[in-house]
Parts: sequence; C-alpha cells; structure tokens
Amino acid sequence: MTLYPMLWRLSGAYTTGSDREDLIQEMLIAIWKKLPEFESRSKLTTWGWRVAFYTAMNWRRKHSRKGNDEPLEAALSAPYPENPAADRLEQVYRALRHLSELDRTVLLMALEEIPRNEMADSLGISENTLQVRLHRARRRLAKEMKRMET
Amino acid sequence: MNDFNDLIRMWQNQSGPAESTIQERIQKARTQAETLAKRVWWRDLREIGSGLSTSAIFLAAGILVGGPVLVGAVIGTLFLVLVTLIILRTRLQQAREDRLPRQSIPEALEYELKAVQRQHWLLRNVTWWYLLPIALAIAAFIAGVQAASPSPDYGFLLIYTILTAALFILIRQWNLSYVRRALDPQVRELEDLLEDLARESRESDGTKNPV
Repeated sequence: MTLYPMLWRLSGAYTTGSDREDLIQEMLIAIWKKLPEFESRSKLTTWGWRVAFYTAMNWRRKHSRKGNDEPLEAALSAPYPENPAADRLEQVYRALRHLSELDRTVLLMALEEIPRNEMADSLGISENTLQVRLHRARRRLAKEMKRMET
Repeated sequence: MNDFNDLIRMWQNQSGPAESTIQERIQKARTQAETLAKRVWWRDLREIGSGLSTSAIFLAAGILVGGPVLVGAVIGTLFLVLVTLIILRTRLQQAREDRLPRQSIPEALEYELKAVQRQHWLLRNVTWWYLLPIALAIAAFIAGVQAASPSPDYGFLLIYTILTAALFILIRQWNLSYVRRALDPQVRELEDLLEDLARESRESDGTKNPV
C-alpha cells in the first residue's frame, strides 16, 4: 500500500467532503511531525497508517458534536472516487462511519490487509480475540449496509 | 457482505487523487507543520518572556525607588517566576510524552486520556496556578508603590481591584465553560472506549470457537 491513497481510504471512514480534505491534511501533518521518531522496525506505510489512524480517532472525537456525516448531495459530489464500484464503496464508507469505534478500527485494519499479528499487537489483544472481534465487526458492517439498502 | 475478500480487493483498488495533487498536498502539509511548530515556539517564548520581562521591570523599579517598592517588587517577581516555572514544566512534560512511542491502540487511548485529563485539571484550576499568582504579583508591586507614596490613591486601588477581579472571573468562566463543553465529553468517550476494549477482550477470551 502506498501512503497517500491509504490516507484517502482511511479518512473516508471518518468523514466526507471538505472535512475529509482537512482530515487528510491533519494526518499528513502528524506523519510529518512524527517522522523523526520512525524506527525501521515496521514498514513506513504501516507506521504511517498507525499515526494517521490515531489522528483520525482524535479528529473524530474533537468533531463529533458537529455530526460525522455530510448531506447526501455533498457525499455524491465528492471528487475522487470515480470507478464502477464507487456506489458500493460509498455505501461501505457510509456504513463504516456509522459503526462503533472498535468495529471501524478492526475493519479498517482488515481492509488494508495489515497482518493479523500486527493488528492484534496494535489492539493489545490476542489473535484469538481479534478473530472474534473481526467476525463481529464484519457481521455489523453487513447489517449496517443492509439497513442502508432498505 | 458475502465475500469479505472481494470487499478488500475493491477497497484497495479504488482510485485516489492524481499524483500532482498528492505532491501539492504533501508540500502544503509540510509547510503547515513547519508554520505550526514556529507558532508554538513563539507562543511559548512570548508567555515565558512576558513573565520574565515583567519581573525585570518590577525589579528595576524596586531597585531604583527602593524601600517598600523593592519589597513589593521582589514578592511580585517571586510569584511571576512561579507561574513561569509551572508553564515551563507543563510544556516540557508534554514534549517528553509526545516523544514516547505508543505501541497499541489501548496505550494510545490511555495516553490520550491522560493528556485530556491533564488539560482538564489545568483549565479547571486556572485560578490557582495562573490567575492568582499573577494577581498577587501585581498586587504586591502596587502595594509597594502605594506604601512608598505619601498619599495613597484608594480610588485607583478600588478601580484596579474591581477591573482585575472582573477580568479574572471572565477568564475563569471561559475556561470552565470550555472544560464542560469540550473536555468532559472527551474524557467520558475515552473512558467508555477503554472500558469497551477491556470488556470485549474479556468476553472474547472466554469464547472457544468464535467464527
């Protein structure tokens, strides 16, 4: 995974429209500031993802009172996702934004194909626990997407 | 979702912004980060510098006039140095903790919770560690000046006291309002999140065949 498209995907799970641009900007600033601390124990992109993820979590907490979803028109006029699966992806993004912090975290890690042992380490849990959490999160994602279709 | 692997492929294949846009954004982020770092540095310098320069003015006036003014100036300076040291300690502590590597999400959340709680404490107690020492510093200096004067100006003292008290009450209320509006919900959310993580771990560890 390369860094910028990854930030683009990650930010979409937290917000839309111009807020998404702001969030990416904050993620880049956080990565830039923390770059001197990077030690080559993990891949730069994995490390960058983690820094960006913490930034997104904090960003969401600070902006939660504003509401985390833009009107549908704003979401539809988002400039970048233009491929045949865009509608489906938009649905996934919307569902992710409605899930709990925990479910969203696990799903985002799984979607980025972060190795299971790194996911478990990041969450501070065993791989067995991770398996359970991922299973539940996938079920809730499917449920949320189904709810959005109806 | 029938096939999660299809979703992973779709997720990773989605198109992103153009390369030129990426470069522009990275450049913009770099510039913003540098500007922010400079601004924070200047702000710290300004806060500490204003405390120290006021102390220098107090002391210079005290030494020039002598007598009760010097006593007032020395007491005022001590209070200002105290505030400066508290600010400096807070900044250094924050800078040190910012450098600590955070390995897992629970650790990051706990760090975040501590940072918010520290901010919460500082703003809630702004009267005691910031406003009161500054007020006492200025009051000590003014008392020294008034004591040295053959005819103390009680009218000035009264107006000064009322205006200072009103300003400090306003600052205190402003800080308390921010604590209630922004920090209290953040503390609650972080505590809930950590509790959820711990609860899910406990529940999952007790499950034999999860999937």
